[in-house]
Amino acid sequence: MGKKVLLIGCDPKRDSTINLVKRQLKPLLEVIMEEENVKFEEVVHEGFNGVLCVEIGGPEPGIGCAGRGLLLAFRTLEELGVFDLKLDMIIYDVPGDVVCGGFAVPMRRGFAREVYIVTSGEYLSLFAANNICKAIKRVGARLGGIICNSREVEREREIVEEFAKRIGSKLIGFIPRSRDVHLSELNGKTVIEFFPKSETAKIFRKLAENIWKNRDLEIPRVLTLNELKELR
Amino acid sequence: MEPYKTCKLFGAVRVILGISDAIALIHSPIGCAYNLRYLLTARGAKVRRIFTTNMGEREVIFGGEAKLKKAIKDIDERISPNLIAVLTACASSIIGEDVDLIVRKMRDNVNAELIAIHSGGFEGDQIDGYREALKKVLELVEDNEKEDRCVNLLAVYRYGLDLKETLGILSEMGINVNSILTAKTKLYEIKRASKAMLNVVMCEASGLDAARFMEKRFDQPYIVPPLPIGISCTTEFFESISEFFRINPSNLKEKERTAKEKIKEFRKKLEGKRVCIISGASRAVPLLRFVDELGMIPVLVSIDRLGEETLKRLNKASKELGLSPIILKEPEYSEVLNAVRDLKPDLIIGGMYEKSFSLELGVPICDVMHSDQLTMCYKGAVNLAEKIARVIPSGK
Repeated sequence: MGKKVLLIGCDPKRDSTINLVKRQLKPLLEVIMEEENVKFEEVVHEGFNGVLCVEIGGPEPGIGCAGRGLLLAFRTLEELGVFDLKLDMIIYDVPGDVVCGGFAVPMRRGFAREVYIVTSGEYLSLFAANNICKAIKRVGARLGGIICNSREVEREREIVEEFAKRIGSKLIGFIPRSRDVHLSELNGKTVIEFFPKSETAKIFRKLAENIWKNRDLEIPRVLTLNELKELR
Repeated sequence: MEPYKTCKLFGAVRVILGISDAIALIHSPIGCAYNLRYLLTARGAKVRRIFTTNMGEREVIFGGEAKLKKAIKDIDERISPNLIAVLTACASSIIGEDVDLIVRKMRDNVNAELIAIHSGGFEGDQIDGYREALKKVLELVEDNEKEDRCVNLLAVYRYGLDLKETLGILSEMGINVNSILTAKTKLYEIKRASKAMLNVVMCEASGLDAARFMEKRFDQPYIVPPLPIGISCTTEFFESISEFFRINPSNLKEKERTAKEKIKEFRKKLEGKRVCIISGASRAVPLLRFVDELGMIPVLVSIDRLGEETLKRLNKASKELGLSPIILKEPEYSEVLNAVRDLKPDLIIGGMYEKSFSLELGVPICDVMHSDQLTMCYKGAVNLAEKIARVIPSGK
């Protein structure tokens, strides 16, 4: 679509940008710990199709505090002027379990304006999505829509659409389960790069368009356990 | 390591304690508030109260929003301060408590002005804390017309005899001190800070950022003169202000002459004595120059926390005076202790922290870091000279 985009990977697993920059970036937090003065070029890298990438990183599993890491990372990005760049869109890739205060930082005022939740139609996936809505409400962020990453559950589209409706939002994209994704990943690329003419690529492009045009941003309603169970 | 510096919260809370109609509310477990109050009282400050939200395990695990909101409401109702400053501490900072959001939510529910300061201890040292808290407080400054011959003092730590003496001389010079940031300052004085034509930065390390902020926001120039400790620095301090306003301070030279005369009698005893100076960034150079004025030799200058200009100024002053003291930059406790032990000086000039090894090493100390003795300006120089002469044993 020709837009200038920045992707900020907020997962301590540091896997968000790997298929765009073709290598594992030295995470921002590591750079902060090693350098006195962090330079812009050390943390913002250009990937496929001109997408700017930042990989925040964090502690190894089982140790430290990843949430605090995010807080420090965002402060540093602010100081580096990353949020003052002339960009069309900033995408924050945030792990699905907003387990503590720090992980809600990307949704706070001044950062993400809209939140999109990726879920499948499986019960526990919707359970997790519903949980994320609690964080969105608490922080005062807005939900832009639900993206279904299909697991080929029976009547999946219907179920996820119903879930979206009940929380006061909408289904903004449905990604069918496809080998395209799997194969692209194995080759270290995105579907857009590896299978640009595929159906899957077309669907991703449609999703991008939908997100770009989306003006319906809502405070989500959190469902009760019973309401969740009714979705089948 | 045994630290010679302390945490960010310490500096941040000092800024708020300097605002007399403000309350510091630390979002923390009880220790932070208790320890700070205890320490600051032991230093001789007349500390007002420091409040805590009393975070426990529950708040660390589940978030402390409820306690914070309640504490804000309670303080607003029971004490009715003009400003409540919420400060984060290690505990609230690690869990990422969204104090900015909570403060935003509470603003319309309370009468007091409400600000949030990020001052988790591990985030930095006390200078970082003071520096950032001061800048945050200055966000409350409103637009005002500038007034002539009007200055602000930035990064003032204590309202004591030294500040009073300084204000007295400024008043004699016809200079109006608009806001003192922060010492016994009221909120309305902070809000009017933009009236000043000039900002005078007292502590370079913690006040420079705030000065730059005021310059950018309100078009206020700033100067960073040496602290008025010792005769030459006192003159330089006041002359830098009088030069800015193009006024001729009539009796400054007179005071300088009188002080120099009075010091002469102490010089006889102090000539050639060797001194270790242990201080912060803003006192290091003035003390070096003052020690030299007394005919003493500074053999060591230890600076617990450097500002941007500190080393440059120190090296320049040393060179101009033909001195070459050992310089310790942000050392650990043992480094200072060992250096003083090796040098066997006649005197230590420092503060409370140095009293411990003054005793251990049997070296007399002159404590210059508190508010109930006059150490600044011409009278302070004479006072210090007399005190030093008293403390150093005769016939050594």
